[in-house]
Amino acid sequence: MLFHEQSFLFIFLPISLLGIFIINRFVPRFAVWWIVICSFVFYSFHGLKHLPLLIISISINYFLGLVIEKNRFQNFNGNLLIVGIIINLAILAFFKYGDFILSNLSYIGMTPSQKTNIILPLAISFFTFQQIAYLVDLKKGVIRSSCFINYCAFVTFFPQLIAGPIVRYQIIIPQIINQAWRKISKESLWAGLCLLSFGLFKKNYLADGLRPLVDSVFNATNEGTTLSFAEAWIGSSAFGLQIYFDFSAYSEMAIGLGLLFGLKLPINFNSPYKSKNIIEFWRRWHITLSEFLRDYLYKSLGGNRNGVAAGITNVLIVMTLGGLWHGASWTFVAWGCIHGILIGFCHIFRAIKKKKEYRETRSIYNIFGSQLLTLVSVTLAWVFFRSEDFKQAFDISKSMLGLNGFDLPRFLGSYTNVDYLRFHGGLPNQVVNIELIPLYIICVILVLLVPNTLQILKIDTNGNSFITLPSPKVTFIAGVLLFFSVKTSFETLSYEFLYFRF
Amino acid sequence: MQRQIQRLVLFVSGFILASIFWNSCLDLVADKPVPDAVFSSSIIDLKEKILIRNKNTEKIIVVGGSNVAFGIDSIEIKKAFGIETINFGCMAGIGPEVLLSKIKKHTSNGDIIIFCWEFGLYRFKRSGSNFTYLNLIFGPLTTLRSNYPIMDKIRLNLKYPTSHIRTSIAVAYNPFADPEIFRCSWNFDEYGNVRSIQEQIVKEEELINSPLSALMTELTITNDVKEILTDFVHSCRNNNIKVLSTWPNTFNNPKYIKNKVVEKNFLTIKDFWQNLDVPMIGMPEDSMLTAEFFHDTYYHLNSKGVKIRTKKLIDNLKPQLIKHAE
Repeated sequence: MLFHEQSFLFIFLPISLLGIFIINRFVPRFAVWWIVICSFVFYSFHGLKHLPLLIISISINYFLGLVIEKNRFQNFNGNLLIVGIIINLAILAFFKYGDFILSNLSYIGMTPSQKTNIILPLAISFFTFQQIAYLVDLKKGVIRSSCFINYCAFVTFFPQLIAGPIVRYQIIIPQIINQAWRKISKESLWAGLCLLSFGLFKKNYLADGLRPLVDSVFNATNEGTTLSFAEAWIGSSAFGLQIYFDFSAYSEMAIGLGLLFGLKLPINFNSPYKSKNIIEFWRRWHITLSEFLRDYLYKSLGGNRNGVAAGITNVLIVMTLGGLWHGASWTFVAWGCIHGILIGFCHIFRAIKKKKEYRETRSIYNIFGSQLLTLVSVTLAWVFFRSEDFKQAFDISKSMLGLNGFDLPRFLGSYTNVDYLRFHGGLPNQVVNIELIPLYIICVILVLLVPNTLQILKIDTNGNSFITLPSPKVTFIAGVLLFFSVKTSFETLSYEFLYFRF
Repeated sequence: MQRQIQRLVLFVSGFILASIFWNSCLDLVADKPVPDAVFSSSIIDLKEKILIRNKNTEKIIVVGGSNVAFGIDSIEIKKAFGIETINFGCMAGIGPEVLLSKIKKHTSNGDIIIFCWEFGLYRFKRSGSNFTYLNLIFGPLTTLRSNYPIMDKIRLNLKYPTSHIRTSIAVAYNPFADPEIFRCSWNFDEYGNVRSIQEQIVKEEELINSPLSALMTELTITNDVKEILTDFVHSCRNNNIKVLSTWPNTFNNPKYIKNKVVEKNFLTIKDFWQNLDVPMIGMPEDSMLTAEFFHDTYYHLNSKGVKIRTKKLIDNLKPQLIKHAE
C-alpha cells in the first residue's frame, strides 16, 4: 500500500481520517491510539512479518529511555546510552548490512561465500535513527519521556514512517500531548490536501515518467554499450530529476498527510538543485537526515572545533557513513565519500576566502556559475548512487567526462578526422527514448526556474510551520492534479518510492 | 465560510475540468495509434479483408489468437472438406470482443465457426490490464468502446495509461518514421495462415521452464467472457451458423501431467462449452505436442507441427462436418 495506490487513497486514508474525526468528536484522548493502530496497519501492509521487529525496537528504546531519564545524573548513564545505540545499530547492521558484511568478509577470505537472504525490514533506517536521536536527547536532558502510546505515535506515525522525514521527539510529542488533531484548522486541511495532490502528481507523472529514460541508459551499460557523452549526461541527470521528484513528492505527501491529521512534520526538501554550493545542497536535500548527521554524529566527532583539517576529516566520516546509511553497497559509500570531498573543498574555499578577506561578488555570473558547478558535481555523484556496481559507475562516469570521446551530429562529419570525435549523431546508441525528452526538459524547467510547492503554498520553511490558506488558483490546480493522480492509481503499473529501499 | 466554499468549488471544478480534458485527449489520439495498436490492427485488418472477400461463400472460420495463426493450416482443411476455410488467428491479447466483433459482421447462413482459444482468453476482463486490447479500443477500434456499459467505459478511460497519449503523439508526429513501420511483418497467405516461419528456434528446456500460467492456476471463466460468448453463440444460432470448439495447440509440458489444477481447468472449459451447447472437438491431449514441433513459444508451431496439428483437427472435425452436411 503506497500513498499513490487505490488501496491507500480510497480505503486506508478515508477510513483513518473518518476514524480520527469521529474519535475526536467523542473521545479525543483515544485519538492517539487510533493513529498508532492506523500506523501499524499501514506498516503491516508492507511487511507483516517485520511488525514484531518494529514493536520490539520501540519497546526496547522506550524502556531504555525511561531508565536513562531516571538515572540522568548517575555515572553509568553514559554507558546506558552506549548500550542503547549499540542495540539499535546492531539491529540495523544485522538486517541491513548482514549480507554486505558477509560478502566483504568472504571477499578477503575470512568466511565462505554465503548469503543470509534476510529481507530488509521497511523503514528500519528511519526508525532506528529517530530512536537513537530520542535516546541521546533524553540523556542530554533536552526532552522528557512521555507515555508509551505517545512514543509509539512518535515513531510510527504513518506519513513519515516509511521514508521520513526523520522526526525529532521534541517536534512531534508536544503536538501529540496537546492533541493537535482537536484543532485542525481549515488552513491545515486545505494545505494538506494541496500538498497531497502536488506530491501525487510529482510521483506519478514526473518521477515515474522519467524512470524508463533512466533505466534504459543505465541498463544499456550493463549490456556492454559505451554511452556517448550526451547519453551519459542525459541518463544521469534524468536520474537526478527522478530522485528529486520522487523524494520531494514523498516529503510533500508526508507533510500533507500530517496536516490532515493536524500534525506538522518538519520540512525535508527545499529546492536542493537551486543550491549555490554543496553545503547549501545538504541544507535543502533530505534536511532532517542532514540535521541528524550534523547534530548526532558530526558534532559528537568534534565538528570543526579543532580546525579546518579536523572538520573536513569529520565531514568525510559523516558523509561516508551517510552514504552507507542509504544502502549496503560500496557504491553508496563512494557516493557519500564524493559528497564528503565536495563539502571538504567547499570548507577549504571558505577558509581561503576568509583568510584573504575576499569579498563575494553577487553577480549573476557568479550565482549562475556556482549553481551550475554544484549541479554538475551532484549529477556526477548520482552515477555512483544509481549504479549497481563500480564497473557501471565508472563506465558512465568515463563517458560523462569525455574519456570515451565525443559523439557529434552527422552534419558536422566532414570537418575533422580526430579519433575522439565521432560523427554518428549525438545519441548514437539509441538508448535514450526521444519521446521522453520533452518531459525531461519540462522537469529541468520545473526544478530550476519554478517556485517549489512550499513556496507556492506559502509554507514557512524556517521551522515555524506557519500555514496559510492556499490561494484560489492553487486550489484549482490541486483539483486538476488530483484527478490525474487518481486516474493513475487505476493504471496497472505503480512504482514504489526510491527512498523505500533505504 | 465563503472563502472555504469558493475553494471547494474551485477544487472540484479543477477535478472535473481535468477529467473533461482527459476525455478530449483520448478522442484526440483515437486516430493516432501507438506502435502496439498499429501492429495488432494490421493483423485484424488483413484477416477482416479475407473475411470480406469470402462474405457470401459458405466457409469455416477458425478463430483464436496466434496459436491459430501459427498452428492451423486452413488450406488443408479446405482440401479435406471442400469448404473455404479462413484462419482467423490474430493475437490472444486483443481479447474476445475484438475478435468476435469482426467475425459477427462478416458471417452468414451456413458458415461454421471453430473456436480454438488460448487458455488465457477465458480469463479476459474488459476492465483488465491488457495493453494490446486497451490500445486497440482507444485507437483503431474506438467505436467498439461506445457500446460498453457506462461503468466499464469510465473504468477503461481511467485505466488507459497517460504515457500512451505521449507515445501516440510522438509516433504520429515523428517526421523521421512512418507509423506504418510498426505493422506486423508476419507473412500471411490468402487464407490467413502464417507462412514466414518454418523452423524450430525455441529450446525444449525453455518450454519446460515456462509452463502456461493460464493453465497452471485455477481457471474461473470471467463474467465478461461468459456474456460475450453467450451473446455470440445465440446470435450464430439465430443466423444458422454452426459453432464448434476445440483446444489450442500447446507444448506438452511434463508439469501438466497428472496436475489436478490443469485437469480441473480442462473440465471447466469443457463444461462451459457444453452449457452453451457447443460441441467440443477432440481431447486436450490432441493438441499438445512435443518440443520439436514448436517454433518460438509454447503456442506457436513450426511447419512440421502445423501439419500434425491440422491433420488431427481434420480427423476430429470429420464426424461434426458430416452431421453438418446431413
